Amino acid sequence: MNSKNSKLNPKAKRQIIYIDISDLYKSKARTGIQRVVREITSRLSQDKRSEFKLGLLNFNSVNHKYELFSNTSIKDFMLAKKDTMKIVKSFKIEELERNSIFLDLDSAWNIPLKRAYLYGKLKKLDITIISYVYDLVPIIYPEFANQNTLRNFMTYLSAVYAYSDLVLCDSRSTEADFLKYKDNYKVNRYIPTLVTKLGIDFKAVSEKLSEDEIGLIKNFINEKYILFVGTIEPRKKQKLAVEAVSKIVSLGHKDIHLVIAGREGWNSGHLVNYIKKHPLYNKNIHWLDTPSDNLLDRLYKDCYMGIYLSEYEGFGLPVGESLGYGKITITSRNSSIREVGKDFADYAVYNTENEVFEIINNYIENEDLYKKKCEYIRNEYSPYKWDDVYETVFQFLNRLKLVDKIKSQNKLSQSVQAVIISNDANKLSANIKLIDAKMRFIKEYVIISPRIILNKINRIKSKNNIVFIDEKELLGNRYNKFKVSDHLTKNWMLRSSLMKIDKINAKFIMIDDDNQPLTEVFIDTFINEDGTYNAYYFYDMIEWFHRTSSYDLGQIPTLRILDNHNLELLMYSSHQPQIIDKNIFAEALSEYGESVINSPIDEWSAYFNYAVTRYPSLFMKKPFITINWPARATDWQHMYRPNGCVFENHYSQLYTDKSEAFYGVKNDDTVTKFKIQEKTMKPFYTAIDINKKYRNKISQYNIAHGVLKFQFNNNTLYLHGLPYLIITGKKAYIRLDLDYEIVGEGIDNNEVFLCYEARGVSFNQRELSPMQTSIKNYCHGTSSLPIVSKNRTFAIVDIFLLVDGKRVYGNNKSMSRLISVDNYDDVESAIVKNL
Amino acid sequence: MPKVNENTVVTIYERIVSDISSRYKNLIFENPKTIEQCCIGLSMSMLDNLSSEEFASVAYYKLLDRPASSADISRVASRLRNGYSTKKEEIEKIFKSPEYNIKNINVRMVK
Repeated sequence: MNSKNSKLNPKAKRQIIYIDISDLYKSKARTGIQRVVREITSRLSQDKRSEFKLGLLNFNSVNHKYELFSNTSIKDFMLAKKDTMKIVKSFKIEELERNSIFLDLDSAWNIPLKRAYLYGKLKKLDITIISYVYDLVPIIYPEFANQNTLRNFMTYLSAVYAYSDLVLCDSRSTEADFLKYKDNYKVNRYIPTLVTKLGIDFKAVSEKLSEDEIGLIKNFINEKYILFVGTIEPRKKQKLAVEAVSKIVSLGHKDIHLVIAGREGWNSGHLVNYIKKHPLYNKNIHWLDTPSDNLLDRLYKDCYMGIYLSEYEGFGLPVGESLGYGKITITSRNSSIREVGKDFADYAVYNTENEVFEIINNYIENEDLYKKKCEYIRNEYSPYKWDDVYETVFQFLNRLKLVDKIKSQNKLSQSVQAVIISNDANKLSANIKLIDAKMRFIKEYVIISPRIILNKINRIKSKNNIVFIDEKELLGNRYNKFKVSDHLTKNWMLRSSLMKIDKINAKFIMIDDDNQPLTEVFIDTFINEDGTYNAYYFYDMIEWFHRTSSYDLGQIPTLRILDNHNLELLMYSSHQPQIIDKNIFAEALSEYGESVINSPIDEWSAYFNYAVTRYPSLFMKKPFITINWPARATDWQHMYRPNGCVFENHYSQLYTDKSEAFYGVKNDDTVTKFKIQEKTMKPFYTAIDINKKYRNKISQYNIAHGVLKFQFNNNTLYLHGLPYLIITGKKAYIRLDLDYEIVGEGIDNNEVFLCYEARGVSFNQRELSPMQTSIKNYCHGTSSLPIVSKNRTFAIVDIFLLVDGKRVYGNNKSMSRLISVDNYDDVESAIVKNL
Repeated sequence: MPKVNENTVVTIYERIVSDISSRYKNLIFENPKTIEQCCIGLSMSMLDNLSSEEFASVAYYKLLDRPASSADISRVASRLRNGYSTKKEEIEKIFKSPEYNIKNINVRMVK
């Protein structure tokens, strides 16, 4: 590695990281993107571990030269103690040092030196270009973007797509948007991406408010005010908050206020006029234009709750800030917002006035719920920290040279070892036969099994060598714990133990005994021509709400560990073979520490999220390529659609049970399998696509319940996220992810199911297994309830609880209508007909 | 590191323009056929009413996203006052300058 070479040879030339801070230097801003530049740059300039040389640059647009700042003046400038920095030299773009790194953190699209021009020059100098994409607002919502910003951003994004070697994003949502538009614009090359997240830690503010500031807040500061922080612009939906709060006030809650804190955005005069001309303006509705940090701190500390209803965000900082102050936070549920608000925010799922009104009103009317929720947030919400964000950036920068070395060692011609855990010799034998025939680059099997099936394993015929490892010997004194553990924990214990074993090669293919190849599979499914590895994901962990099996429950601690280390949060247990780099897996285990070695951890996600975060340019992240995951289309809904499948997650009962889709199909009939899979998934995909578009209609027509309330056995359950009209495709279902909270004794001693009945059509239920919290008599969860339309076009849907076999209905609103349509064009008329 | 894409920056830029134009009919992207279209928010008649110094300042700011330096202003104003160039010719000069080429690719947008 770079660091090692430098220590051996003090004269070794240090690699330069250039950061162009022209926009920050011009604006001196302390918030938004400039805050990111300050936080990362100040830490990088002081990091004693760093072997890099830092080169901060300003582009002089008069003489077209870069100015290099003195490193001694960086700290004071970045901490906003000084407004200028000393320039040590001025040079042409072509004189930037070859083979250096160009870390483009600032709002580069605003800098006169356009990246379409600059990046081409950098490429000629073999400089590694790392760009940051904070959001795609100008592309997705150009009507909300300033004309100049739109024009500049289009140029910037074109340059990033054409030239960047690595792109940093602040959220998975932004990353997914970046990749979606990359495909839309037919940019065919793979561009590595890394989600860094953003820090939400606060500066201690100790200055007193000025007399003027005290005057601004005196009308509401001692009453219950709801705080909306953000630039005033149509995308942020301040109008929705104004309407909901007006309704609350009209019900007699004269002590409730809405405080909008932020400057007027571009082209938002009509919205400001709407606020200023509102009958409650300066009575219950207030606007504080561009509040100081001090004032904002005071507003957060004293508010009754926070609110943020943006249509789209790159990250969603105000949500994290509000929760960081321990405040109940009502927010929309789109783009990146759940990544920040997690299980702590109150989501207006469809961003309707009705939802916002009912959520606020529910807290006003239920003091106990209000107090418990506040306490829960204060005790358990942990905002992302700038130190962790910096560490994520530093760690991958530090490994860039190692990545080049690993890539140069990875050859497509190499033969590879397959490592399989199994306690079923018959299943294993069948799979080895298939792998022998269809994965011919596999040259050896390592089987980890109980000794009891060793004789059977010895009888397996294969063209390859088979090495047996006894699971008891592998685990040593952890074996007793292993024997009583669930399936997920067992797999984690075994696979994490393998990294110390000499018999395991430096790179190997990890396979479950039911991961079958469907067609001939080549090594390039796992290693690419340029030496990068493929990493196949199937879901976003933050959106996985299933809580039925040990696998589901294991996602909770897995998510916690990954998030604590500021790692990415995709699910990689794609039920297909994947390639593992033993050294990187061992490194991940070392970082996670001893405390997790006997825990229920998803080993695939634990390895890959570490690997893709620390070595982003060593991996190509791709959607999974396996059929029958899930086994049945009704088990859970695909978030990413597999394309070009070459593996099957093989369930034998799908072939032997007459009611199953694959009944009677021969195992080698791959063509029929693909056809069945396609036919089975099609109506479900149609229903998902219709629903994605339908969300806007729910918002437009204001047709969603806010809070449904159910009372039973000294408990009150509050359910969120149910639309008035549930739209699906025929012969398909859609899943409603419904958040709930329970205040009261809890349901440990009861069997409680969330149920729906579409009268005359279908019935379904999901057992509730809420997450316990540190707060007495308060727990919460999310239930993913599938609603089935069968062949009917219309049904009334009752939502109720089944508590120990007895039906419990909520307040009399807990009813919706189920409409199934053939395509999205029918949705509008179905809504109008049923309202 | 990945190879540079076979798509050129300009090709990708044109695809973005095409995508946004198809989704938002009220946004029109045009090549800079006329000086008026390039001077976002300004017409030549407005520019004619400015003094030589004001003109230099506004033109640089609007076309190059930066204030004109004092050297720029005195150079342009001197040329205009002495009749060596017109305001229209000065704008054309800015279009041909390397700085303008750095800033723009080939398409501009009007709303």
